[in-house]
Amino acid sequence: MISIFMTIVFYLIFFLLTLIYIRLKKNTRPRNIFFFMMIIVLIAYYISFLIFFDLDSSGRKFEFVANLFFLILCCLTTWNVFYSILWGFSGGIISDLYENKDIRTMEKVISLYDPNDGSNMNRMMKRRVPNLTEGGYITFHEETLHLTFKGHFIAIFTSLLQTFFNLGLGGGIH
Amino acid sequence: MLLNIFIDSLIIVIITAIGNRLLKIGIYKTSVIMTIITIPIAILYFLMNKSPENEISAIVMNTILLHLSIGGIFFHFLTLPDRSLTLRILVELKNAPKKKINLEQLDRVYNLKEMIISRLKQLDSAKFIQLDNSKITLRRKGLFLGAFILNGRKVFGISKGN
Repeated sequence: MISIFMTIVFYLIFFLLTLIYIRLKKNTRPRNIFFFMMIIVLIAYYISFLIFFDLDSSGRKFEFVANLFFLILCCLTTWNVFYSILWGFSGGIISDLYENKDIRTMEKVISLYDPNDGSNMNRMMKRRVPNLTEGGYITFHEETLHLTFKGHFIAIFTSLLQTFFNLGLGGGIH
Repeated sequence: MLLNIFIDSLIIVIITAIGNRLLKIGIYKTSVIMTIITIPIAILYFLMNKSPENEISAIVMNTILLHLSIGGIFFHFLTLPDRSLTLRILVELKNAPKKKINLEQLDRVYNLKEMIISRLKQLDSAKFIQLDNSKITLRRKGLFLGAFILNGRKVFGISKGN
């Protein structure tokens, strides 16, 4: 039972380290930071578990694994809250509606994402296309997106998951 | 033990996939329900594979923690193929002839207006907003989420979302 408190303490360490790093470095794309901090915290957790409770018996080993998975879940939840809620599409719409009472109609929300400012990309594409290009998933030239081998592999894997779980088109469209 | 964890994860994954086809209540609700209702199966499975010196109560407690954690990790994993717009672009490209698509074509198959309307309808059915023809009203849940997002962004010092 004490091990669960240790797990919570290590999660709080993960949260604080990530928060401090993102704030100090003003890191706007902290995907790698979340992952790096999680690995560091998991290693530190393993070492601490060895110090405080030895892993001699199979019961202790099982307790360690259960707590380790719980710690991973807590870290992933923070990561997902950051990307899917604070920075996600639906979160973006809700916060825009909350901040600005003047845009509370469907047409105004649409125009917020597609401002017709002469740009060839809307607000959603403007960030995603450069990210996909940087990540090596697509190449982008002459207004055309080309799928790379890496991108093709990810797309096939995603399609298989969508078929297996009956998810439809993806992208949150139902 | 790794094999036992793998089998437990497989149970959650397969039962969720079957459940989503049968229940039609959405993948997230299905995965939560299936994770919870498979707890007894997991307990039984881990008790059958336990060493004689292990306490039953400790095995039960740790199995519940492990099983719920695996279910939670799986829940997060599901958001990628289901909701990620970035992955959707890659899938559209995969389905396009010669694996390439120009911005105009992309805008047709991946229409921004339809996407926003779809999200607004989902937010409406989840009771975050109320859609009255074109007019949008934030409900209590929506006001809470809006405040949470703005404060969360302040805490992390990040700018606007997507």
